[in-house]
Amino acid sequence: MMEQWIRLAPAVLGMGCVVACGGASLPEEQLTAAKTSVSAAEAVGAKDEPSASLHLKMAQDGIDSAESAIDEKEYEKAERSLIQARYDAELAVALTRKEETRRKAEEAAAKVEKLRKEQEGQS
Amino acid sequence: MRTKTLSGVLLVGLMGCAGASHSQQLVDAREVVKEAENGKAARYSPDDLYDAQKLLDQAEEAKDGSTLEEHYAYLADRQAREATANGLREHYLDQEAASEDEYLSLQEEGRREAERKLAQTERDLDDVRRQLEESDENSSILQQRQAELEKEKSQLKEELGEAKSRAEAAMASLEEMAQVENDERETRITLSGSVLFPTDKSTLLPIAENTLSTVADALADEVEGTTIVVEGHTDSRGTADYNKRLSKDRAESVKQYLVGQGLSEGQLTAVGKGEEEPVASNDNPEGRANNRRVELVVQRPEVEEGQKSGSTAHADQKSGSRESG
Repeated sequence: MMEQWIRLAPAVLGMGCVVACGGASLPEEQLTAAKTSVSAAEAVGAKDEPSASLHLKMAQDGIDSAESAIDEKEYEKAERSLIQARYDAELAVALTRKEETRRKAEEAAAKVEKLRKEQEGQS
Repeated sequence: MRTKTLSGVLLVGLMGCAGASHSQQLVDAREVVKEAENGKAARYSPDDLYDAQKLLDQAEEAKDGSTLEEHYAYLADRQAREATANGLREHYLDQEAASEDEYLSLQEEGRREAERKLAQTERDLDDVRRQLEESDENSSILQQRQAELEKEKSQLKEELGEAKSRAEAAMASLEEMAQVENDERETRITLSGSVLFPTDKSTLLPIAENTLSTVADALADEVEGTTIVVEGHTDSRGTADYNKRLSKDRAESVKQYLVGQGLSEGQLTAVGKGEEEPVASNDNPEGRANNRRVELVVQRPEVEEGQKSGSTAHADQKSGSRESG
């Protein structure tokens, strides 16, 4: 377990309380990270992509409930919510970019089909 | 493509609410990870998939129904979905690239086809140009031929015109020397006996030749089928038999002379009327002189409608053509 933790969690300080630190502290880095991810998702237009907007909303809700938990000093709960929110936001980004690429692939295929038809028409 | 590390993710030692409902999240997460393993993620985004599997392992290791289990199951779910989404994106990028290659190929093919067609059109154009040149040549040959024919035609017209003029001139001359009655089908030329024959003789006077040449000219262009009856007539002095014989001989002389001038013998008939058809009274010298005559009765055949005309039509068709010189 410890080995895994070391492998999966490089020694970057300030990335949150990864070990139960007794009282735990306000998960500032996680909060920043979650908000950054949500901004990134909004920037790529996740709101306008049906499959992605769901996860964007979940991320935003997650941040909201983390902030409420922080008010209640429930820092570990807050941290979980924030981590989950970040994963949702990043999924929203991945889904948006996937759909965008799918559309471009479809357009490229349609262009080929159109040219093919034009050439058939001329022969 | 790894978008994050799993640092700061592991929360050790948390005890959350126990309950059978939380295990459902783990069950669901297992499904989502399995789907990701079977989809494009395995090929295109193995790192993301690896992370998802690790998170699932964490969930499995956590206590059943614990908050930690729920937490890792949630993250495993999201990570697996992300792996699938990234995998698909790579797959679409491949498709897009393949389409672009195909597009360029088609364009190239199209360009070659267009070049080929252009070359063919050039060849066709050359063919047409050649054909045009040939037809121009043919056209100029035809034009030349046409010009030649036109020339022949005007020459013939000229000759025709000249022949007509000659006939008309001859007829005019004749009218000065003889009495000419003319209608469509019959012309009657009356020549006075005194300009043709000496008294009681049937041999022609030398001066008769002038008149009879003119007669021959005038009748040279008569249409085929025209008959010319040469009638000899006398006055009433002497016996009827004698006169008949004399008039016949005279008619014959005139006929032979005309034949000698080129008229066709088949057309001409010599007839002796003697004293049978006088035109004037035989009781006085003038009357008797008038009765002493030769008449040429020119009869033209029936012509069809549309061909009827005066001397013009006759001039068009030469019958027993006159030899010149």
